[in-house]
Amino acid sequence: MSGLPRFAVCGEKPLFAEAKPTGNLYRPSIEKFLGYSRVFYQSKRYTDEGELCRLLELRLAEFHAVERAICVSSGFWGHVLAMAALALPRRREIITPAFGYRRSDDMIAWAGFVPHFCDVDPETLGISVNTIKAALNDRTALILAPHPMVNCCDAQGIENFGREQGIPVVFDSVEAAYRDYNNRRIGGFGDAEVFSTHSTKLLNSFEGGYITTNNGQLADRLGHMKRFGLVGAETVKDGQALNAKLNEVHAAMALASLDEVDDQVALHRRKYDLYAAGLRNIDGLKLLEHKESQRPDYRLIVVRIGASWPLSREDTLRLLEAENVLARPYYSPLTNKVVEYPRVCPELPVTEAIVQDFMVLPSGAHVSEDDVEKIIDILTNIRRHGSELKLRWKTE
Amino acid sequence: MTGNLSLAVLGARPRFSELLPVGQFYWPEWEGYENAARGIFLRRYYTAQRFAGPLVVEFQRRLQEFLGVKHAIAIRNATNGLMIATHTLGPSGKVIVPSWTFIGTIQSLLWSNCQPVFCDIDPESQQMSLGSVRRLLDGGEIKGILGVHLWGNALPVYELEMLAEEYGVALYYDAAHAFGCRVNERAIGTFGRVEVFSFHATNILSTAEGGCITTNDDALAAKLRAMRGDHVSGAGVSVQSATARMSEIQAAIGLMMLDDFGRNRRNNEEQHRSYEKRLGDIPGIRILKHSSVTTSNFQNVVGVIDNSAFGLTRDELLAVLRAENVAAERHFYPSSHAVSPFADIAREPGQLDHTESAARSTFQLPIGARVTAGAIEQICDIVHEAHLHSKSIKSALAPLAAT
Repeated sequence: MSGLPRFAVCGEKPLFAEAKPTGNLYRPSIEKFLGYSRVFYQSKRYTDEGELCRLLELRLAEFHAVERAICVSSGFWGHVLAMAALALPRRREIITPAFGYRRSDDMIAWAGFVPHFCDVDPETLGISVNTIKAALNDRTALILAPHPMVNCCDAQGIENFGREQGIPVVFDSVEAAYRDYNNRRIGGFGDAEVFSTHSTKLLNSFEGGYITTNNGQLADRLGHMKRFGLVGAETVKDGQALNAKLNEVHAAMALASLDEVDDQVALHRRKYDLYAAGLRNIDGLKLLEHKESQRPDYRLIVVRIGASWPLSREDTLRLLEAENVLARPYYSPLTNKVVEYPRVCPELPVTEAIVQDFMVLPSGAHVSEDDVEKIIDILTNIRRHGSELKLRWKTE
Repeated sequence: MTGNLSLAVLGARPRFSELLPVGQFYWPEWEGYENAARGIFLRRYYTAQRFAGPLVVEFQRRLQEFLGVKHAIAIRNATNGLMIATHTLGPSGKVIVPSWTFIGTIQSLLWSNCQPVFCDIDPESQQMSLGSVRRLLDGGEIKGILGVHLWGNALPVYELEMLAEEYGVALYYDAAHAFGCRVNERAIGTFGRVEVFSFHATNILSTAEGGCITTNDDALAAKLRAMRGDHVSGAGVSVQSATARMSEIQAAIGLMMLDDFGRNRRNNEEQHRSYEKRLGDIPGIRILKHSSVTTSNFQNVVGVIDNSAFGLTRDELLAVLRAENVAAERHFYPSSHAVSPFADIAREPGQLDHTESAARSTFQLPIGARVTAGAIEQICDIVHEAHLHSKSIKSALAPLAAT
């Protein structure tokens, strides 16, 4: 036998007995969660804009330094409502990058529009004024601009461009909740920003999300639309509505998470620093650095796979998965998906060129500092024995 | 002072110091809740992460067993369930639905390019009228029927099924009010292509918000599950996914409420009977009886008022009750067909006569966890006194109505 170290993919025991995911799965203090829960045990009000939901909205508005926050049942329906409320009338297309959240085209379809995919900027990996311009036409109803997993897209530039053109802009800020851009808090850019509090995100409310805006009228309208268009018990203001209410149990969890968010970021920072130190010595992998000027949460660990890395990304992911390291591709372009509704899919040269280059490594509450060291060790071993591994796979 | 002053609307102190809302509001004991939360925190399995969580899986299994149905798919809320069901069944076109339902039923159609066509109700049971449904089917171009089981009662399911078959249209149900109801021992949840339950706190089985979709069709169930959003689609055409997963804590609450179901149903039944007994003799008040079901969940107490026999209009009676801090409600108000954009849908004259009459005369009284036997006695006394003093109440309310 060769001097190959023990790889699970060759039949050895996996490095981790328990899966190491990329999702945050943050666990706030149980006592805090139970403390908030006592509020609805007292009031017997379990949903329909109870006390906790209202408190959470105030706290989130403060957190993002915006006028209003509207809690919703998920980021997904928050997006659908924001699009439905803001899109220009009699126009059908919504511009969004293909290199982004795997369900953003589904959200657009539910809202009744056609996604028009645009390219990304090779530096930020987010959309930019230039990539938006290439997709802009007289059918454009709205721009849906997601922030990348690491650092911001040019929120200021896109906001200005939308204003000049008279096209509404909604930011998908699911991964950017803690960040600043140009010394402004994320949450106040564009016409509205949408966040998720799914358990894999920075704030964990089991399931949930919220919308932020400085437009009071829009906030009122979204508040109606998420509860069947009802204002009070007996007035229906909006026929285009649904149920996207956040229940009080989920609101209790969001509040408990929000209370501890700064401490949580400090923990992410320590693991991020360990990753950074370890990856510096691995030729072929380059960590995307969180920019300190953008007040990052240091949560997501994204690496770029260079030409000198011995394995393809897919082989690397397969090898890591065998070790219970659930690393993931950094987005798969939506243009690769086959769907049943219309979309506009132009050529996207930057996306095509970089789509195989990135992967997301495990982080969050299930990953300890010790785990990070071990993951760095495997990556070091792959680097060292990559060509042997490849050869061995070929012969098998 | 006169005896009239026993009513708050005439200047007395309200009977109830706190507002008594309409809705079931059954909820687990603190201990069970705390234990469940601690278990979830220990597992760190909060919601579907790659796969549905252990409590959601268990809740679905228990629901399937309870209902005698092959697939129960837990979801975030019933409106999401109806949207997913509508999209999956793909009737995309005209769908027959009663106007006499919660507005969310109708709104669920809009998101999948369906146009509601409003049918009328039977004046006795307030369920969809079969005659009206048949007339609309004869009108042509109908792609589906979204039936609504109302008030802990059921539609005439067998007759409706025959109609849907005869005209070759998809039939599915909004069963928000009907969890635990049975027709000849067969549970609601097993009829039509799919049925959608609501586990909103106002219904008998609560997960705060929530619901489930039920079906016996394996292929349909796979599609519905994929649309719920807990799996990444594999190869082939991806479904237009939604996000409608139920969380683990909701499932934990649902499991405890399922354990308590029998007790809560019995409590409802006793309260319902008490209302029936105490209000039965008051002229001009009719409490809706259950017609199609052999077992009801008794989750709604629904009254219909005859103005001339009772002496007050429905809205006047509600003003009397509200003054006493009883939040009795006109339900489904305003009616779906009177609300934008549905008001623009063309209708035949008289198409919704019984709906319009129900909308003027129907009200709901509180029943469930927040109601005591004493409270029911008080509420029935208030209604009785309102009848006796209808003249002075009318004159007391007249200046209010004028403003």
